[in-house]
Amino acid sequence: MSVKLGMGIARDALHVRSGWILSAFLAFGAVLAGVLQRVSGPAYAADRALVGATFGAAVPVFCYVAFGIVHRRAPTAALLDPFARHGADRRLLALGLFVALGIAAAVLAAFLGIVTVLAARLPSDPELARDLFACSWSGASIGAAYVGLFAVGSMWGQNGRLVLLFADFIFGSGSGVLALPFPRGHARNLLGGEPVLGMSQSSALLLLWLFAVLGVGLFARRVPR
Amino acid sequence: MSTAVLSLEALGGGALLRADARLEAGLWVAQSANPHALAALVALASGVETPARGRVLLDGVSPAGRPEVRARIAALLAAESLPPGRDVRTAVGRVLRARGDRRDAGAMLELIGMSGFARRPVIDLDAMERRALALGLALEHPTARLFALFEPFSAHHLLSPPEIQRRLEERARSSAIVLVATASPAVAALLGGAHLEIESGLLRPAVPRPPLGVPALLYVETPEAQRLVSAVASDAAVTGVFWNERETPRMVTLYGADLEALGHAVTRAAAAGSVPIDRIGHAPAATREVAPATSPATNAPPPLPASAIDPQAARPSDQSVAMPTSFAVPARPGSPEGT
Repeated sequence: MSVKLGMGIARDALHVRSGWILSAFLAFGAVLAGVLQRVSGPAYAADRALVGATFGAAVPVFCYVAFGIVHRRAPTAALLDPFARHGADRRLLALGLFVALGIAAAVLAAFLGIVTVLAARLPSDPELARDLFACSWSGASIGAAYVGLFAVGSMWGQNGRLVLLFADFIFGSGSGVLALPFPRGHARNLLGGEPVLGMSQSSALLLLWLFAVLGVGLFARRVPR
Repeated sequence: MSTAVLSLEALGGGALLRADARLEAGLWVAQSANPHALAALVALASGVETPARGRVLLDGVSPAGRPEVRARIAALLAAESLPPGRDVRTAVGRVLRARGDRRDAGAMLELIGMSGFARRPVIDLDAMERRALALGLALEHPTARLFALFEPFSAHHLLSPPEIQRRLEERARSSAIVLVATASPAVAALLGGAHLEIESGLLRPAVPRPPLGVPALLYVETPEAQRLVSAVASDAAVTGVFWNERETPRMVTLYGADLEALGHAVTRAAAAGSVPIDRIGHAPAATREVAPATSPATNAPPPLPASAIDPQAARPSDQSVAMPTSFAVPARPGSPEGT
């Protein structure tokens, strides 16, 4: 029951006009990025748009803003306490909250990936269907990983999430050991870009889901029941 | 169902410096002139706030870290809030689910007379309405072991004060602990008198106060309480006597218009009846455990009859008369000292 209550917190918070406007704006940005890349050079246009604008910028920003919409500048404990005082388990509430955010992020990231590919590839492109399928599950994995990252950041409130957003952009852009704990480099690897520490794409996929699970688990473990 | 037990062990936080008490099932009234201390007591005892010092145990288990214990606590805080939700009905539904209560939120609002709130946005309720809703939800908690309520009579909406009192007493009789925190002496009197008081941030058993019109009160500790009571009862300076033979067999409380006259009455009675006096003073000796208030009237001194209060009695002109801590028993006539 506490998990359902936690999911309800996120669902109610995200079901607001600002959330929809943000999603629409990001979708427009993804389409624009795809079109511009196709115009500048059809070869690998989808890859460039996905790695750069869509999964490199839009998805992390969406996740960060979504956390902000749900938390409303308050610590996560402030969301959980009104339920916990009546007998809900804070850990399960947090789990539900982040699972709902993870679902929202995964769905939106998959959607942004799909619209980016549709914009970057012509309908007659034989690789279109394969790309649509690949970027949908890749996008879902990347969205979930960012929720795990920001769940860890939520231990230190809004500032913690902001620090990790910048850290992901700075360190995740590399391919060395500093890029290892951030989703950006592994997302790039998953889309055919330079891998982190020479890892395979399967390892990158596994790590992204590990971020999602471990990040949420770390937060839930730290919060008192 | 076993009776509930609430233990406050060196509990402190906010305006409450320290509370040590063991409360068993029944109705308990905590009174103080400091509403912040009362609010802190309720918030800490109910597990809503984490104590800065000490701990609180309900049936031997702390509510911190134990959601199943918190689900058995119904609280009314000084400042109430509702969980977020589309509207009040949704928020109330979430409260019920958190408790493990499967009743419909709409039916619950109907039951507590607040169905008009159902479609209103949560943010729309003002502080009084939130407290009234919280009181209704607290009183309708089906399985609570502890009811910790801050000023419940100021939170009524459609429930009348007699109805609130009836429900509180009903809960107290059903093996639960009902802790009412109030700054109002009238509310405390309505519920049978205060059992606990908070003075300078410290929780302690309540000291019986003399009723209005009777300015002097004296506590006498003696092993021969019954003989003392018999001896002073006819003294003109003594307008009232309280002796709880079962709970405090050695403590006699005397009421009168003049403190010095009361003191002399005690010495006269002690001399005449050869009653040994162990202690005499303004306050009873401190006790750690407060006896359960199964019937509040048995613990509080009964109100004096109107005839005991003489409005024409001379009031002491000098209120700063020093109270002797011991009285020399005058020698009896015929003794070598009493010549």
